[in-house]
Amino acid sequence: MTTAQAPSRTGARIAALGVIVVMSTAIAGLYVSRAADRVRTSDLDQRTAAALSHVDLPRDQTLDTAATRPVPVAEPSVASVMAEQPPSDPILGDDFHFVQRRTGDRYGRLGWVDPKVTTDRWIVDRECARVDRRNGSTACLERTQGLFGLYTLSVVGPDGASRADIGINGTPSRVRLSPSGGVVAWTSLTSGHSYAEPNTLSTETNIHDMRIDETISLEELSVTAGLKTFNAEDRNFWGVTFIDDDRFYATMFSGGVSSIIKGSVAGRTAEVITGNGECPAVSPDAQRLVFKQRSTTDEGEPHYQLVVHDLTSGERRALGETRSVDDQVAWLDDHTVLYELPGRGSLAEPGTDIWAIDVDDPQISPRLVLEGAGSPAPNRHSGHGRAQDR
Amino acid sequence: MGANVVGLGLTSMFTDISTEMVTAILPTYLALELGLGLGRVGLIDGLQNAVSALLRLAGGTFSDRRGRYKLTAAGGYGISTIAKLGLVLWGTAVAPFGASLLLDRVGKGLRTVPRDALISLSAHPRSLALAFAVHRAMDTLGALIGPLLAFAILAAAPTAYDAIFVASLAAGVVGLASITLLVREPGRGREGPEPADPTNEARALSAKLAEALGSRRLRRLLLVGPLLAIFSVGDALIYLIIQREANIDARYIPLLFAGTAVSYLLLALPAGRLADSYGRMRVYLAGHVLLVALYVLLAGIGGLGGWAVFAALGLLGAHYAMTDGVLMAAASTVIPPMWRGTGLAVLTTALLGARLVASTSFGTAVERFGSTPPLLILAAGLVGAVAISPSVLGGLEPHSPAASGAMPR
Repeated sequence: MTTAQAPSRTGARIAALGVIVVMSTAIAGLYVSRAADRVRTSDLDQRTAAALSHVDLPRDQTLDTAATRPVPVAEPSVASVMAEQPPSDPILGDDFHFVQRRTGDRYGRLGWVDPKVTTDRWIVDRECARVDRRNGSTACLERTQGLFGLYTLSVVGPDGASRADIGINGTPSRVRLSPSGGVVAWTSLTSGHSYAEPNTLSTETNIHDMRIDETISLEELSVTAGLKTFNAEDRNFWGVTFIDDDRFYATMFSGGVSSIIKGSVAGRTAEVITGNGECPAVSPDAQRLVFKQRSTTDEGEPHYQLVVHDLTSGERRALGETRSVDDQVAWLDDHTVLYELPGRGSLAEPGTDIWAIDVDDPQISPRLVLEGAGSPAPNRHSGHGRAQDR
Repeated sequence: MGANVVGLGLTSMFTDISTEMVTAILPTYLALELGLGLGRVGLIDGLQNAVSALLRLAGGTFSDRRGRYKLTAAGGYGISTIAKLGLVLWGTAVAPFGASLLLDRVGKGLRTVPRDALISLSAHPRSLALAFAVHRAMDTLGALIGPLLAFAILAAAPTAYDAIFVASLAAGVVGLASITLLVREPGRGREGPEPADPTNEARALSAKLAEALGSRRLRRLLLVGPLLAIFSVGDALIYLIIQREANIDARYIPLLFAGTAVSYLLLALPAGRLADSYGRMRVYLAGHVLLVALYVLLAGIGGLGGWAVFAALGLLGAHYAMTDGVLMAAASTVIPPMWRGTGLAVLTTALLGARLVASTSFGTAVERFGSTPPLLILAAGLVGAVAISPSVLGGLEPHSPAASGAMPR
């Protein structure tokens, strides 16, 4: 490359770069606009069916059914849709809310289904990453379409009024309401949360009491195991489940070991009740916990076995689900839990399916309850005559 | 300004756009969309950093031995671009996705040092700091544009992560094309490349290291750089302190980064010019005086108003403008061209190590005593370190007479 050749060569090189810039921009721009169309098409389709719509049945039946259903006034506010009573008696059915996770089909929308009655699923004009529902209140970890792709926890009460609207630090992972619907807990994955290791990922778990508008972080708890007290530096918390508005179970990870703790919001205290468990879910009668127990496969991959832990006897037994379940289960009643497992999906919209398993009998295989859905949230009501919902 | 410097600036800008687009959405994508558990997300994070540090040394010594700085750097950019292709093709499966991310870091680790050596060998010795400032400013611009672009795409097409990967690949291709088409291998400044002999690879590598460390002035820099870095905590910690003490909503943390980047962009070129004329180590030490001011400000930020947050971000950006590229420029004047890559690799690795020690011990101290006492101790330590630095360096002359890194023209 001599100096004499340089000017013309340089011109050609800059021109070549220009061509590459234009082509790359065009290809990427085209792809993004097609992706936007793809997402918008499922949006449009959805708006035509107003806020509630029908997915699994043919179109004519959809219209019929929709006509007989209580459809909200045009362009309903998010709160009014959320507050809409599910179109059947929620106390009698095994109904639950879920998040739609089927590629190209209202992905990420909040939905409701009563599999005992019909396979129809009702999709609401609301996006949630995770959902929980107790006593008529709905908690939704919602992707806010802001500049920085952030999440908000919103809780809507039975009267349709917003009860909480809280910005989330990091990526939401778990959300649970107390049986009364008055207290909410959520976990998010954050990076840079720890001063000691700013670039590693950790969890952040908070409990918000909506009746007195107060938030506590589980980091504030003083945790004991017998005589041992866990210091504040090396603790991570996630996966809360409520017994009532004060008492709860959760996961604590400290010194490389996970344990299940039982805590009190008012007392700011907790104690370790058992080891090697994550993401507990307490049964409606508060007698048992189902949580995931971690082991490592021969390939070095983590395997999460669902186990049931009897709170009276302390006995632990594996459930009849042999696949690895990386989820916090939800109790449908005192004998059945629901959970999500990866299903079919695409790159942009990885699918999940909702499965159910009998907690009492390890011989009964899990059954597929709802394909293309995740984050099951049974609609348990307290004070409505269900004995287990004390 | 050398065409190589602008070419490398463009390369870094597009590559940073490409990388930061993915980084911005990565925790969300891994955890939420791929359904990865916390443990594995953390593992991917940790692996990435370890691989990157090791490969810096390899990239530096390799490029020195062959005298092929452009080739090594372009190879690194190429590997990262192939990794982006991997994200587009296999984004849904966990194992190939993780492998693609790792490959991206391999490319980054390999290219960093040869690229800096290339800048130092291509710029005029009198404007070395300015050259690094131009490069770093374009790099920062890319890091600012990338996340904005990613979130703009997500706003236009929610949940369409594949579109982000495709756009990232496109930006990566432009970056690779920039170095291939615009950057030229600098004159060697030495006899031809050593013959490759794989059996002697390890011995040659350590011989190269020993040679590079033979320079007395480099050894002095290797004392001063890490000495100051021991009192310099990472910006992630500084943002955390600002967020917690000034009680800023957690969702605005990315804006803190953006504020620092804007301050850096405004000040990088003037600081580089100043360093070239007034003395690089003088500006470098002055940049650390600003860091002392930042620590003192942060120690009391809880009781101050919103202006203090802006002042803190301004100080942090100014600190980086006066130190980051300036030290590389200063180092380039004391490392002979033939050991340029190795010398820069040793220096940056020593700095990274010192910063890691600083961040970890400071972090632990903050958890225990709150942020104010550790901040004031750091400020005092840094004042001491800055005070003794001139004597360790043996003077602060504006220009080093010998060992310039000019490309023969």
